[in-house]
Amino acid sequence: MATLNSNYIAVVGLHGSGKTTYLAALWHTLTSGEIESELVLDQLDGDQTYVESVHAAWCRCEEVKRTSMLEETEIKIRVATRSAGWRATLAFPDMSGETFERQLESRACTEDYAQQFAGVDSVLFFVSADKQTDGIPIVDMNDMGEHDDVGPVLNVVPEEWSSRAVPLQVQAVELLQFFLRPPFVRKARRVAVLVSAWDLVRPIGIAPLDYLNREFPLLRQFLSSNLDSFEFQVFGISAQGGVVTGPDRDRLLRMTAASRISAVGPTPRTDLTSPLVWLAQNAAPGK
Amino acid sequence: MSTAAGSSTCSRPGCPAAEGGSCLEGHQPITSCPFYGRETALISGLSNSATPTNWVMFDSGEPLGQHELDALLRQRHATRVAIIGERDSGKTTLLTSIYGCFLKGAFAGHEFAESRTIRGFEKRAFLGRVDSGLNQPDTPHTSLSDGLSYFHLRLRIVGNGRRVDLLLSDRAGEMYRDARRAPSKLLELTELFDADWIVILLDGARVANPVERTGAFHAVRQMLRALTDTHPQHFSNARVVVVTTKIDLINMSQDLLDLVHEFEQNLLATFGTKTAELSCCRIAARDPTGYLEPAHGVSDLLQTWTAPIIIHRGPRELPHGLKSEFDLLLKRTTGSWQL
Repeated sequence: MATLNSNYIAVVGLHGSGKTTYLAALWHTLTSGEIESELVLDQLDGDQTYVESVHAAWCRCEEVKRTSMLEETEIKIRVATRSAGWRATLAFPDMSGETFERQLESRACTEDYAQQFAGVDSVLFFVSADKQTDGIPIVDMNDMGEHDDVGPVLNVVPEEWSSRAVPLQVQAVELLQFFLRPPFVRKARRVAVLVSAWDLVRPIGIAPLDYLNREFPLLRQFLSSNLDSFEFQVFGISAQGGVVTGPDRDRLLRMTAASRISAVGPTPRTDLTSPLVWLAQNAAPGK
Repeated sequence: MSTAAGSSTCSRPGCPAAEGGSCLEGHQPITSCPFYGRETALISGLSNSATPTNWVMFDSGEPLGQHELDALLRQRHATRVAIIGERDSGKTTLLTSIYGCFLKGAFAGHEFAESRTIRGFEKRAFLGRVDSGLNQPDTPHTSLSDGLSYFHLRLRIVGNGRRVDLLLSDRAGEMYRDARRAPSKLLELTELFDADWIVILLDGARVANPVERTGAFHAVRQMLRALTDTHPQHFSNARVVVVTTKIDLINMSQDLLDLVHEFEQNLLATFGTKTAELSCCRIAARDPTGYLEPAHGVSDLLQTWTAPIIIHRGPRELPHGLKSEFDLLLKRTTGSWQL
């Protein structure tokens, strides 16, 4: 059995992929004692201002404010298993999605980021189920109609390409591909893929890995084809329980805070802390 | 950065378009040329764009130039495919259709493992997507000034887990037209001499057009003749596939299908013995009507490229007539190069 020690976990995800909301719900899971989670808070450690502020918004069923590049901060949480057999400090940065979008656009990262992530073994990787279909080929649209009814070529000036036109799944693959080449070291890493807004998917009754294969097929292929670099597991997490910006908010407010949180994964007893336990098992003691 | 359609400026040095002439890059309409409507200073300003000193650069994600190609080949073996065809024959569309298939899932028994040129693929695929605002798919034209570049795909073969790196060449079609007309220029097309596979495209749209048909057949036949007559020793070891593109435009006429079949048989009879392997196939990378599935016929092509390579150890002609001490050493130690 692995021992949890000091584990640095990289948190990677694009804008709106649910990183900060996860942090808020994780804080509630660890501190409230309302949820049968694998991990609990062991001891307060350092300044909790930031995590308390995002948690406060989460408690009010408000949209948890996205992290801006100016607010990026590293969070340290001392956790233990319920039996207190394991103790560890989990350290992970709450990085803005804009940081990762800039990487894709400028094909560069800061030296600080490169140093911080260079030797990292564990990655929490976020994608959201609350996404719009993108990258649709025109021929697929034509195929939906009558074959003989392809319209004339309209004399229109096409939109100009920008990195924002790149489909989400391709952006996700690019972010992980960066880890395969300098300035990062190519090594075996564990990647916990967290599909946020899982409440949108749950009614379909699909497993997280199957969902990834259906909605992010390039990402699933990439991970499956690089198991020597990325050992991965896929989790579905619902950190808010629903859409807090619409009429659903009243329903969520009537629920207990803990019942808004749910998670599914490779084992039936998955909770919001399970991805962290799985990642931490990868780290060698003392790292 | 915007393209000022209607402007008479052109940032391509020496292009007559700036004086109202035709596009040196061969773009029609002229506004589709990436240089047209741009000030020279704007283009050169790009390369001077300041990167903060505390930033670390990743690879560009664009098609690989010689430097990036060498770096990759120092790390691992890759199968090189030279895709040659004249302007608008469908070279770039073939490339983007292969990439596009992996966006939807496993393709032809392969899964996507990595690409160092995703940004390049994305840029070229964009005009085929709804987001472009077009109602019919289009593909940007590869410019003469782009020179030779390679697209990269690393694929995992589902059956055995083996991973294969593919390098697919991209170059403006005008260069191939010039080379078949003046075969001495073939030496400039280094991709032909480095290739594990040579793919020659027969433009199906030209075959379907009675005015263009004979010229289209002639272009492919003459390219094969230029290769096998000018460098017989090298290309006797070559594996060549002649691919008829846009087959959706031909399928509607049995007469056209018969013509293509007859042409293919003639090629096999004439050049089959002059190459190590010569085959023909037909594809519709992107049938706008949707009758044929996307990348129709492309799966067989891909499987051909990723099949294990049998290394020919017969004598080979040194591609560029190099006679350095290293070449002489190679000859002495292996005897496999003819100087």
